[in-house]
Parts: sequence; structure tokens; C-alpha cells
Amino acid sequence: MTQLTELIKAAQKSPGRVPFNGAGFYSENSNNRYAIYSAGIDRFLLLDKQDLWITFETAKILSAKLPSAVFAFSDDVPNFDNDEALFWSITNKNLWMSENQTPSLIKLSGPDSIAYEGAPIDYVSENQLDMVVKVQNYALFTQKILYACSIAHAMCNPDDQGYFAHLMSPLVAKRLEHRTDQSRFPEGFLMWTKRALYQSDSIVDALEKINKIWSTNSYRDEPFKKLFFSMAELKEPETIQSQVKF
Amino acid sequence: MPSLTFNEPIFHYNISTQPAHIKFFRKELYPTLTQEGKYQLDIAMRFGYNRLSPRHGTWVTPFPTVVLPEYAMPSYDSTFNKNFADITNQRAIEIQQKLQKDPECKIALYYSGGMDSLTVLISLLQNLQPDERKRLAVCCSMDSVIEYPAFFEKYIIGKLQTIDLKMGKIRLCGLIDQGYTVITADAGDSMFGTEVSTQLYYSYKNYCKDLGSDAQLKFGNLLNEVSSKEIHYSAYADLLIAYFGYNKSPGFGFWYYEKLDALAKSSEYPVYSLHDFFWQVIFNIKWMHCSLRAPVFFGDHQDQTVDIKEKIINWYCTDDYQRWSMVNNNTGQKIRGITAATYKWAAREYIYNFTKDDWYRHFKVKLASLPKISIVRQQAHADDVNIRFGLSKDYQVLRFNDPGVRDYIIKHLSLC
Repeated sequence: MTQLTELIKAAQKSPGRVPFNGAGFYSENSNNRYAIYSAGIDRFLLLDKQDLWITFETAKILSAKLPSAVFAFSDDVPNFDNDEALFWSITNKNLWMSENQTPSLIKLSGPDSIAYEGAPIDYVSENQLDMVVKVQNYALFTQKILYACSIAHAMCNPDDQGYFAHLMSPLVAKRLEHRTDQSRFPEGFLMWTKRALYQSDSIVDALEKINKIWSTNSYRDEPFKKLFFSMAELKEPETIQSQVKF
Repeated sequence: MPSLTFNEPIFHYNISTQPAHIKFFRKELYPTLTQEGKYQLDIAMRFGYNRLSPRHGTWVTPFPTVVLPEYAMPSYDSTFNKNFADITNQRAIEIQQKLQKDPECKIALYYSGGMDSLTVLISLLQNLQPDERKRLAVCCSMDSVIEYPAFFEKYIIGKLQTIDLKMGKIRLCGLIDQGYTVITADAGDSMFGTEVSTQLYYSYKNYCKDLGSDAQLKFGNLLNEVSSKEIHYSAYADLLIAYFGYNKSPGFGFWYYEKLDALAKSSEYPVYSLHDFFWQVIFNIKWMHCSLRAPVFFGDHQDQTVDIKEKIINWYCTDDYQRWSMVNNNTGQKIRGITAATYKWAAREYIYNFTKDDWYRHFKVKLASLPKISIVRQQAHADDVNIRFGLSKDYQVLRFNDPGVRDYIIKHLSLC
């Protein structure tokens, strides 16, 4: 037994075994914080404590409305919540200049790296302030939907063939039909949901599109649908509820 | 192959930070120059390039330049009162008349998704008849889509002819060779004049802080006065000198500020507020660069005579747009605040009146759009573009290895 243990340990000496050093991006104190920042408004839009990649994708989808950056906060950066986000900004404005519509990821550290600056300076009329809150609301909504559909997808679609098809040479994906999930949608529910979020004009518009995606009644899709709507804390549309039979 | 003789003025010159330029200008020439000559090269290091030549007033260039007639500045008219929307619609009608006069004429619009080219496209959509719109092609790339996806989906794809620029593989000269007259919106930034100032306004507090507590007190309240008719730009002098500074060249910030101050004082149009001060940089000395970069760097024809005179329509290079620009610096038409989402207000309103899109109106910011759809660096033509020096007064593209060009550069820089 000892010999087998030693053999395993010897074989474990190999590149990549040292864990990834995520300092600056992942907190050792379970204090992960990721903030979406808009240079145009010069304020943060939201702060997330759960997942870098969902937050980053939220910023990507939000880029249809405005460019932004995602800052990964180290532990010494002051804290704020989403209700206060619109009053906080980065202090070193040279850190990031908006050159792309699509977001980039930036590390941020230091107790003085952000500061409370009050309401956005150039958004003073009622209409303008409404728009600023509207974009924040849309960002938060988008993020919640992304969490819900990403988790639902991961839990309900163990055979995500589309992912694996693209890991092969292009000829494989071209020659062999493959599906992305158990739903009927050609590119999968996850992609269609993201498309709805990217192209919608408002939360109401996005909800209409999402409900339309699920307007087909299929027994096969049911677990996926129920899980998504439950996690998103959305009411399933009537058409789905009334038509599904077990 | 063109050549240059010593006394010959040129239309346009280019000193950049591309490898060939660094090797020639910085490593070979810089140590041999006077302080003035070094400062001229430092402009490129501080701002990315030195392609500055005056259309008006006092501005010393490292090489003798003359104004290209097509891009000369009109005279200042303090009573000019046409509005942006009318000027923009009239411009589209001029294009319409061109199409009506010549049944073979077809138009290709460089569309980046940014405010300037979007304004042009909306103007054409509103003013051209349906059969005329069929002779319009929208030249774009995936970056154009990403910059404004909702508009692309609703008004462009499947509705208008599109030409994929294939991220720079399709060049301006290729479109001209296919018979297109090309519309560019390049001078939009020059006309609005906000581009040069945005970085300072955005990081204003950082610069004040770096100057110390006295400066913070002195300049802190002036941030909201950048467009004020009461505060002269000289009130910001210390801050501007620090902002313009280049850490590898002591005294550069002061030298550059003095040059811009001399330019302002020698101009017939008013340069009073801080915003005026920045506006004159791009409206006057950077106009030629903005107007000529398409043919000189994004196209490959050696002889640019026909291209510049007939085949390229620089949308914003009209007397009306320029006169509008001269009288609207501080009226709220160009800038309504400090943050980037408040610039180019007249264009935002024009766009909003068509799209009714609040997102774009309130949150669109300036991005460097054109280089994204006409990428140079990763393409096969990059090596040649990187050795282009400028445009002769015979409309010939000049390269470092053309006869006489290297000697021309060395002699003129050494005389600075």
C-alpha cells in the first residue's frame, strides 16, 4: 500500500499541479467581489459576490446598451451594496479608458481605489436619473437570468454536444448533427435566452421574449423549464402551465 | 515612385510610434536634433503620433506644409445660425443630387456604429428615395454590429446592402476600384472637437491631486466651467502644462501649451473657454490628419488625386458644418457635461429623433471606431502602411524609402 502511495506521489510531479494563483481575482477569505463599472456614467452599476464569469458575461450582454468594465476587488477595497453602487466610482480614472464597446476585466486593490462620489454628475434631470436606474435594473435582471439559465443548463444538460463538437476539428461539427441541450431550440435555450437579453429594449421586452422561448409545450423540456423559472424567481407563463401534462 | 526636394511643401506628414518610425526618428535622428526638433518628435511619443498641420493661424511644423484645397477652413461667420439637423439633411440631399445626376453612381458608406457614421446613415435613410437607397452599400465589420447591435438588426441587415470589410482585408482603394464613391465620417470628431479633451475631463481630479493640495483648491471648482464663457483657458494653464507633460522630456508640457496658446491667439474665430482650447487642436491642426487618414493609410493607391478630389466624400468637410462648429462650442450642442456620455449632443439628438432609442442617447460614448473596421496592423499591407510618411502636394503617397524623403526629413528636422 505504501509503495502504491509512493508511486502515485511520484507520478504527481508534473506541470500544472501547483494550484492556480488567483490572487487579485479570487479572494482567499471568501470575499469575492466583482463590480461592473461604466465610464460614461462614471459610476458602478452592480456588485456581485458570487461568480466572476457570470458578472463578466452580464457586462458583455449589457454592452448592447453601454460599454463597461468588470473590476475584481481585492479584500482591501471598500464595500458597498447594489443600492449604493450608483454613488461609487473608481478614484484613478487613468486606470481604464473606454476604448471598446465590449468589457475587459481589471484587478483593483487598495482602500482608496474607490470612493463615494454621490449621484452621477451629469445625470441631473429626472429623465436622466430614470435612465441610470433603468440601466442598473437591467444589469441586475440580466445577471439573475444568466445565473438561473446557466445553472439550469448545467444541471439538466449533461450531454451538451455542441460544446464537444467545437472541441473537435471543424469537420466534425460540420458533418455530424449535434444538439446543445434537451430543448427543441436549434442553438439551445441558453443561447436564445442570452440573445433575448442582448437584443431587448427593457426588462418587460426581455421577459416577453423569454416567455416566448418557452411557449412550446414539450414533456422533454419540463425539468429544464421548471428549474429555470424557479431559480430566476419568475412565474411560468400560463401557456406552459396549462398545457403540460405528466 | 515619387520624390521630394528640400524646399517642396507637402500636404501631410506622419511621425508615429510604429516600429519603423521609432527606429528612424527616435533612435537614429533624435540624439542629433535641437530641443525644438526633439519636442516635435516628442509630440508623437506623448500623443501617439505627430500629424499636426495648421489650416489657419500660427503653428510651426517640422516640415513645410500647405493646406490641401479640398480641406481648407472656411472663414469665421459669427452670425451663422443654421442648425445641425438642417445641415445634415442638406448634406444627404447633395448626395441624392449626385445619384440623380449620374445613374451609374453608387455609394459606399464606412459605417463603424459610432455617432458620426450613424448620423450620416440616418440622414441618408431619411432623405434618399427607396430606389436610391439600393445604390447605397454599408461597409462594416462585426465591430460595427457590436457598437450598436439594435440599430444594425433593425435597419441594416437584410434591409440595406452590406459590404463586410473583413476586418481590414477590404481596403478603401478596393471599393473605389469597384466603382464606388466612398463616404467617410472621419472629420466628425474634428468638427465636434470633443475627442482631445475627454481624457483630461475624465481624469481631471487625478491630475489635480498629483499637482498637490494648492492645485486641488485652485482647479477643483473649475471642472464644471470647461465650457464657460466666463473662464479663460489660461486659468487652467498649470494643469494643462502638467497634463501635456511627457516624463521623458522635461519642459515639453510647457512648450506644447505655449504652441497651442499661440495658435489660439492667432485665430480669427474665438478661442476662450477650455473647451475652445481643446477644440482648436482637432478642428485646426488635426483636421488634415482626420480627413486624410482614410486615403493615405486605409487605402493603397499611390496617386491619390482622383480619390481625394472625386471618389471620397468626407461628409463633415463642408463649409456649413465647419461654420456650425465655430459658433457652437459652448452652446450645449457639443458638450453638456464632463462625462463622455454627454458629448456630441447635436448628433445624439439627431439620432434619437430617428431611433427613439434612449439607451444610445444617454449612454453612448466615444470609441476609436474607424481603426476597428479598417484594421491595419494584422493585415498583409501593414508593413507598407507603417513606412508611409505623408502626402506630397502632387497627391502622391510618400514613403521613407522614396528618393529624397529620408534626406528631406533629416534636413528639415535638423533645422528646427
